[in-house]
Amino acid sequence: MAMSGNKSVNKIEIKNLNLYYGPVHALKGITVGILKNAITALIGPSGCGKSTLLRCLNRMNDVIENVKVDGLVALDGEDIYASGVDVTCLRKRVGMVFQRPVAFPLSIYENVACAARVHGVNDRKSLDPIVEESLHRVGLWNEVKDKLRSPALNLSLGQQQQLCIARVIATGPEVILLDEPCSALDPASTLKIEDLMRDLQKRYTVVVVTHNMQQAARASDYTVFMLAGELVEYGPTGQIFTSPEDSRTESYVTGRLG
Amino acid sequence: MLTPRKRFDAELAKLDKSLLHMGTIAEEMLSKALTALANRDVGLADETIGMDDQVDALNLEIETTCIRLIATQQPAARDLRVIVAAIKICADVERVADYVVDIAKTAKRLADRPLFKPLIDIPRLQSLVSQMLHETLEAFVSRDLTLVHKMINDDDQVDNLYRSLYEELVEFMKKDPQVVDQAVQLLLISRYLERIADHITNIGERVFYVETGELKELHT
Repeated sequence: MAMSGNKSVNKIEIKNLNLYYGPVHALKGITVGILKNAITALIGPSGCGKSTLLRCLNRMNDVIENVKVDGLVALDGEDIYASGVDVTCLRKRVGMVFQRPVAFPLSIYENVACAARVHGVNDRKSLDPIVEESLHRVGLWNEVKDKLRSPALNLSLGQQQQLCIARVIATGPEVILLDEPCSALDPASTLKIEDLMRDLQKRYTVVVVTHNMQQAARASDYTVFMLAGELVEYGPTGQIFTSPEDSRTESYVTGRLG
Repeated sequence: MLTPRKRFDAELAKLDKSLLHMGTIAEEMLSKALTALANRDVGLADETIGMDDQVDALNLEIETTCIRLIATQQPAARDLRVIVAAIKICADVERVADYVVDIAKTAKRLADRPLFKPLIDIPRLQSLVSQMLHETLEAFVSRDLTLVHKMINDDDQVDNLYRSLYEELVEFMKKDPQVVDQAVQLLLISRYLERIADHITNIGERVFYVETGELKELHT
């Protein structure tokens, strides 16, 4: 299990990464390290490539037609785009949470258990503790423990998003990618998810894409600022928001760009 | 529903702790500087001067933290008042420590021969100022504004004592030019103590602001 104390170790290494959607050059020579047990935020105006970059980290772009990727994305030093990489196994190690909570029309229990089932855990004896532990880690257990069999869709949107994070946790990931995890949530649920991210970082490496610059400022340790497919600046979040080096970063964080 | 902001709350608590730590060092420095003066102890005066580096480092650390919290945490209401007050308070504590260094340096200059008169009012002044500093730090921690008001009253006593010391020392100088050098040094020390008390009242005003949201001069 990855615990804190490894903060200077890169969990993911990205080197000269390019991505093309057909003729569109969407990511241009991205080079950056994602630190282990840290929260890294990807920020930038719409269309800058931040979600595309996030999706490169567990090869979610593979399912899109006409996508071409070159360069290196290494997880613990191993190229995830190398031939022979089992993509299902990769996505177990690098889980993803989406913008709108994707709760399945199943019970709360099944929403979490189904993730473990996909990875071969089938008996109740093994599933029960996985479901309980996952719900605990996202702070949902006490709220739902007495209604595990009721439909997940009855939960509030914020709770559904917690449930989706629990589902990712149930697969035993090392990295959790969050793509605008709070954009559908109210402010109180948003702060709850941000607190949850802080708890998660003790065990996992967290990468979050956000349109909400203030969220990146509040809830991340490192910030990557992107513009038009390029990485403009990367640094500790405190530094990016107090004295960024690049004038384009300055314009963005002060609300004068995008 | 109360949503905690655990990380931010922890940072605010740490800010409180750092300010208190800084104030406590200044308090200790003040006591040491006056002991150095009374005992003509050059070693202790140097030790006091050396402690200023800790205060300066804390000052920069606290200010940097405050700037980062403002930039990243969008503080509002009490959180904002605490952070803005912390920036001002650490600057005042830093000035207090600088005056203590001045006192310690003066104590060193006075250490070469016995004083022309026994120290009576300066230790009283120091004791009042130390008490004020202690009350203010205590008020900062306990959020107890009665301590702030008490401290403001103490400052009046400091001003009165300073004025009478001034008159007394001037009298000595008029009578005997031989004592002018020492008397001026003692007058400077009294002045430093009086200035320290003013910075402490500033701190008290910031504590008042954090608790009430009202920015005002408490000293009338």
